[in-house]
Amino acid sequence: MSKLVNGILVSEKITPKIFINIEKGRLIKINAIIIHQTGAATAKHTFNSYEKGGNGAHFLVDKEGVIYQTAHLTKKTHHIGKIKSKCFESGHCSKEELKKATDILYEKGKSYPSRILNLHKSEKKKNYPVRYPTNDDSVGIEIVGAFNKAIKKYEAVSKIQNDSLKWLIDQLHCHYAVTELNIYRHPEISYKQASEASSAAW
Amino acid sequence: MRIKWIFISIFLVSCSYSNGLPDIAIISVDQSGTDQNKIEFCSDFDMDKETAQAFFKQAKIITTLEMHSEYSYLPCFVKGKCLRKNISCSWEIRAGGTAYLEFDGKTVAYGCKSCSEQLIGNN
Repeated sequence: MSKLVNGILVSEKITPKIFINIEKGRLIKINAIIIHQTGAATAKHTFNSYEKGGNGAHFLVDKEGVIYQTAHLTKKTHHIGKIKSKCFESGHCSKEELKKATDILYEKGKSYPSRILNLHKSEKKKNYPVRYPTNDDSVGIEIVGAFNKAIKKYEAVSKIQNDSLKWLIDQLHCHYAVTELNIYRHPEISYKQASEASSAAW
Repeated sequence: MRIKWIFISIFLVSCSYSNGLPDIAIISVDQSGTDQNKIEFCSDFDMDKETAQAFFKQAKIITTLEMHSEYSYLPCFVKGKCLRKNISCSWEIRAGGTAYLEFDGKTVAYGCKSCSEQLIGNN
């Protein structure tokens, strides 16, 4: 069992390793948990990147299953990127909403990056859970795992990593009202390689 | 005099490897498509040799970690053949601003955040 103290999850199973450079303002509400894979073979690669600032997540599970907390749970981090349209992906919305999302996504004469940026901006105006979670209302968990460029696939998440992931999610369940329905693999909600975190289990 | 020529040689080499990239000559554009059956979304994603050449001129080599955290991965791609250091290679540019170059048994990832205007649909 863990304790939550000033945004730090305190437990002998968690190693605090906070990188203030990846923290981006106050995280007021936590609606969801997003599971990522790092795209790098070791935790050190990711820590080196976090030292420089930029994007990052709140937790990292390394190859040995060691859990590091890398950002306070009271702080936002940039771990998601541009969100997809939940309406467009699920089809569970009004015809008008679906048309609006479709029109943005398929807009002729606009570059592909600008289309998904415009859709992201449109989605952000909605409240959760009508939209997918954003950096403003979610916690990110990175699992160390390399991306094989030749076959364009992330390596499989190991049992020891999945055991740690499950334990960590259980702890977050205890402290926040985040149910199973509010846990997502990164590619479900953002434009990412489909195999990222596909073998994560909790 | 000899030192002067050494400096000129270094300058010429560094110019031909601008942005830290070796010269890549696009030979052909062979295929445009989608890897998630997103045919309609990708229907107007295409590019000619010159556009592909311009992409690689502006792009930089990125790590897979950077690719994961800083770029969107879109299902649309264009593929073709190229020459790098006079050895044949193959390339793939994706709609999210990333690319792969397969060369000498290795795959290198590229990213270009300022290439949006080149990733515009043709229609």
